[in-house]
Amino acid sequence: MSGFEEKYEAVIGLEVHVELKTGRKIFCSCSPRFGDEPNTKVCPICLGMPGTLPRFSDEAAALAVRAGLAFGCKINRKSWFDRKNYYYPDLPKGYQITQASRPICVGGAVPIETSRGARRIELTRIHMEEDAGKLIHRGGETLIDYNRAGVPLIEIVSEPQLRTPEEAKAYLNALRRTLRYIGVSDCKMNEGSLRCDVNISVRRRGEGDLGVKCEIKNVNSVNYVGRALEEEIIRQTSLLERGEAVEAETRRFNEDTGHTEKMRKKEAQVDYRYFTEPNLPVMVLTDEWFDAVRRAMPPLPDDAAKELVEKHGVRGENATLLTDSPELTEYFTRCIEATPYRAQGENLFMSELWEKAAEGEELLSPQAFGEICAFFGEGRLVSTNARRLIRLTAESGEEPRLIAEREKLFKLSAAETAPYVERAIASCEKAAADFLRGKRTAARQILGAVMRLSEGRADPIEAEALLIERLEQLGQSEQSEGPDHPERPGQA
Amino acid sequence: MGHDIVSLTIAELQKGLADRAFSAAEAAEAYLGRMEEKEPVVNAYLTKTPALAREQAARADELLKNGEHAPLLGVPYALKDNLAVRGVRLSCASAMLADFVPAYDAAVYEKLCGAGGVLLGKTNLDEFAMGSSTERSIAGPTRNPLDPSRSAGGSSGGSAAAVAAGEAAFALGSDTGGSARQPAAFCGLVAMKPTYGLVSRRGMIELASSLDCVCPITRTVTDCAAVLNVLAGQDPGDMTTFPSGEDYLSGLESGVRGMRFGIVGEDMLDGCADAVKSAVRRAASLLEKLGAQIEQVRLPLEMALEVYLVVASAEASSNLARFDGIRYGLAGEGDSALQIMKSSRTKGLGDEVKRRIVTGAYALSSTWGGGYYRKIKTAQQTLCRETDEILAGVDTVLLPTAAGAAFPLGSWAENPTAQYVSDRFTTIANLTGSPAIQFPGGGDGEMPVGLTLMGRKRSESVLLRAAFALEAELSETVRKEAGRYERI
Repeated sequence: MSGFEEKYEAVIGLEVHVELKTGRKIFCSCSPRFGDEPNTKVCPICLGMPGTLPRFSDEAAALAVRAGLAFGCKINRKSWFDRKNYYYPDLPKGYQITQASRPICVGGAVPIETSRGARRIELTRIHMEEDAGKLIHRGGETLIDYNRAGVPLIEIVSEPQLRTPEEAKAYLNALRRTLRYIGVSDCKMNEGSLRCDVNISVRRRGEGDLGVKCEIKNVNSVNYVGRALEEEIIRQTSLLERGEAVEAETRRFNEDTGHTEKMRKKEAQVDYRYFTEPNLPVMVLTDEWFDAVRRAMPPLPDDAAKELVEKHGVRGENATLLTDSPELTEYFTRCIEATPYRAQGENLFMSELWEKAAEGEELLSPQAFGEICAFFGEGRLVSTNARRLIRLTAESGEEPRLIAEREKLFKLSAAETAPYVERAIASCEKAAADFLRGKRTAARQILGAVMRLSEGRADPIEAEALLIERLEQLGQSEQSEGPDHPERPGQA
Repeated sequence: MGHDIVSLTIAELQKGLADRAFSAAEAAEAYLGRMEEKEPVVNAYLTKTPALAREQAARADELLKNGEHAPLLGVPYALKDNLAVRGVRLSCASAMLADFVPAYDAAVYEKLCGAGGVLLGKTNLDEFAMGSSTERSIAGPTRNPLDPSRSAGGSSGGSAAAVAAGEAAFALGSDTGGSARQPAAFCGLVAMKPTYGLVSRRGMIELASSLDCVCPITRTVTDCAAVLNVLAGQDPGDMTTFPSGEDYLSGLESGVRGMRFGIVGEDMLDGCADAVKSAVRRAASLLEKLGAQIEQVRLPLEMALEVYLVVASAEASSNLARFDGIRYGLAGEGDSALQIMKSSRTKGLGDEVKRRIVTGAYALSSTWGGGYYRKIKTAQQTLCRETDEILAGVDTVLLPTAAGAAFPLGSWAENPTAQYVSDRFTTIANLTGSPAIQFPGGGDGEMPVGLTLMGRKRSESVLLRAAFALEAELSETVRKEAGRYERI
């Protein structure tokens, strides 16, 4: 691979299918969920029974427009559906209803950031279509599950402007983060609610013409997209280096071997016999409808992250992590607004609450969180105990103060710490003697005993000060009593 | 008594029910008895539903006893077998669907149930409504009740024959290029192809989605208006429909004084039977006598037929793709899905259906058809514009429904595509989405010939009013010229 970068460049375009989160199918009211018993979320319409007609609900259009607005697309106020005709057992009607000639969104771009800097990857189009069913191959048999047939999709097609696997991954992550944040889709690649087809060709640098491209179908994680592309770049450049030709092929990524494999040779353009779907009228987005969609548009994740930084002083990398979903941002905002100790709050949230919150689980009420932050900020809890108190509160749901008192989590006052210092010195005679002989580091060992005896409740800094003071006192009294000392304190 | 009941118009039947001259159950039995008598010859029905009819008639009697009203309460009728009724076989006259029973109702059946109708059965048609003679059916041909050696027309031949034979008080057919109007003409009946979108297509097996219409086939213009009243209106389940908001029965008798009629020019009648030519001329002079203005118009009929054949086949090729034997219908054999599909379609679909699928797929193909479909769609726009201009200048246009009276069965066996020409006067209304009403205009001594009035979109009331006026003036002549009428 050495020297590839100088000699060759890859040209990559992605076609991403995303399931719209309308909760129902696009042309009927079946509402399948991932993992449903096969063929239980079907009706005469999505099974393509004779005489049934599609019934389009504009919820799908609203989400498609939302995606278009997020990426700055031009929204076609007039668009329509076409039929894409082909035979396949998972396709109930023998055609797919899709938007071929006039998609709902055109143009736009997805901003990405990689080690090569910030770029905008332009989009060709975003169009709506219905999903097909799913073939399940099992023991030589093929079964068909039509639960997915008719689920609303948008297909997001990028211009071939991506140049590296890293950029492709960044593009997918950016798409996914935005679409999830604005509620267009769950974008779960493992459940198939986001699916990615990759087009890639390789050419010598400086060459204007594109090389022969291969399509890698249905790669189902962001990392696999990166690995499939790395593999494919090596394969294609090696062919070119050997003076061989790249064949136009449809390939698949084998997750076990980490290689791409040929599925079939790409025939000349498949003839889908497209024509306008006669059963659906031209879709016209009225001003009123369009304005309502725009008003309901949630903030974009980058804007939300910026607001967290500006308004709450959140650190940049945390702001990104906190804008994974609007629910997460909202929960964090409520928590951080419940305490004046902002920096401590941010740290505690990130270490104790973020992981679950990103999965949609709110472990603590913002009030309880604010109370714990206050104890920590006021110096009444050491950080380990603040974290422990969060966990205990989350488990029991009791008031944090009650738990902290019962579990003896609050820090001890100086007066309360003194007896532990005495006991620690008594239990570490040798260390005390060492200290008094001038070995200052011996104090560490005794401090450890203080913390252990006080079950961590002593403030280590306060306890250390008390300990030194007490040891020095002891030293002075010993000096005045004892005859001589081989070493002087302070000369460790 | 039985024979009296089956010869009544809808209005007469309803009066008899209201006056307790007979019950809905008796009316249903009269029709079921008539079916027993006539079916061995006519073969109008693919599936009879006597149990359902008796149940619905009993419910109608219940309502009648309580003094309730509904527009078609207790009226026995038939549905073309491309309209779905839950639990009743929906075959479309095809081996493909010989055992298919839908779990849903057509929108028009829901409406007829709401109106108190009594379903007698499902009628014969050309397979998937492709044809003009009702000969290509798994149940064999339907015979014209006026002369059993002749065709009842098609593809709604079963529906027309049932009404003409007194085997139903009215029937629903479907019309993609003339499939309801031509059989009505051959059987001496009235049929209205409504404006595209006035009547829901939900639950009707599609032939060409942009052209298909559900149509009432009745004995009189008044009956036609009564049934259209029930069928018309928006259905959220068919997104191409619009609200009606009209009572088609009101204003039927207002006459044609001051109305402007376009009449197709003599040259466009070339190749028509003399009876057809004289029926057009006679109707024109009657209209003038009744105070209407007459002017000659030129409709782009030749172009319409050509455009129709491409558009209808193209849409059909796509609409029929679902019949692959995977989920329902005749299942073929094979080791792969593709083999099963091929085998299902090879066995399950008839020759004419295959011919149109191949033609349509070719027209749609960018590889083979060279974008032919797109060119034809442009031609259709031109056609619509030209027709709209003509219709803008007049209230309606008068033209023949078919070039002659009912042809003998087997006429097209040698040359199946020659039959396409019989649609030459009818397809234009489907391509433009305009309404058109067929009514009897005369006869050739034996059999009736039909006339059509075609108008601007949503002008059903105007068409009904004009057809009503002509029906009143012509009924004696038609009886005289179509001698077969007397022999039913």
